[in-house]
Amino acid sequence: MSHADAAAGPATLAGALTAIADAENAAIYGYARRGPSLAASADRTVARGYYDVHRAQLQAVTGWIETYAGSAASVPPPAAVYSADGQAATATPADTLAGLEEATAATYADAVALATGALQRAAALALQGAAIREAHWRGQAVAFPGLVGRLPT
Amino acid sequence: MRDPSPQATLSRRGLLRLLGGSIVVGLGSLAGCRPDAHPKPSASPHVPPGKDSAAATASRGPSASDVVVARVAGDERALIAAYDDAMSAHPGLASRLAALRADHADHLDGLLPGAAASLAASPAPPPLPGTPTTCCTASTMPGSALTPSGPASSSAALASVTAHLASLEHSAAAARVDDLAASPGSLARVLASIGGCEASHEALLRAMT
Repeated sequence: MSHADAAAGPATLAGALTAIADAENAAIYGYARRGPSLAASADRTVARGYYDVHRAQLQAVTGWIETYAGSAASVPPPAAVYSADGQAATATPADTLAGLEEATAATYADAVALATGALQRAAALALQGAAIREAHWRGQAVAFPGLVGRLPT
Repeated sequence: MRDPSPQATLSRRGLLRLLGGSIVVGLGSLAGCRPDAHPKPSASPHVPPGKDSAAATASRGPSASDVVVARVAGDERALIAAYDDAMSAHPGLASRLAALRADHADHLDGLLPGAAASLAASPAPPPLPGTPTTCCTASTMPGSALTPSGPASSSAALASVTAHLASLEHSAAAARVDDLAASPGSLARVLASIGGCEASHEALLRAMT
């Protein structure tokens, strides 16, 4: 996919939806890889639940792409490996998972900006879910989930 | 206190740029907090085509997005007042609630620059006609009418307060979703983000007790 301006987001709804699928694939990979490294048993249990949520979200967005993007886009396959770009080498598993949630929230925010009707509402609710999970891993909320660090400079 | 990481907060200027200058200038004059009532129409050519064309109509009076922003700002003020009441009635909760209150001040400032700073100095302006707030009336705060009841609030009282705040946050998050249809795209993105924050507040509050 093309990577549009990071602050402005993708230019088309099809681009926004494929970006969600990419982010959900990255989150699934990240939870599988880093979730088991969480120190607390309770957190590992939470992470397994969140992993399942991301699998379900990938299914949902696959349906959105088929319904709303038509021939303009196809569901991107998962990559074999996702880099931990932007992550410090010392990032804890919780830091990594919080960053993945912020990244997925950002793609839902972009879809909200471009969609209307039921799809727009569904994307906003998905953003809320990502924000809840992000706050869980950070131990605190962020004021603008999905918009963190996306400012024009 | 919150982690002051530069990644953790959105600067006001950045939010203004995300929203698009002409929307916010129109709102500023609407709210009476910007004396310069002559926004340059030349701000509009930079607005991308599409849903944001609503911004171009801002100079003709309150646009649909003006009304939405006024309503959201009213909700944010009501939430801030609810946190103030809770922190006043239960000082033991203040340190945990302060960060959540600060997020709402950030939301309010992002929508109406400078509004949060003036909260303590003056009462909130009356809402626009036809824009009742959609949530968050603070007058029913449990415990806000408590007599000074002793050195420590009971755990039941604390649970009642956090449950009440969680309910307000839940209503606010739902209202932000309802606001989207009347909002141009760049504003919708910000409102969805604010709703996400409010949903996360609800979860954090429910985990406090």
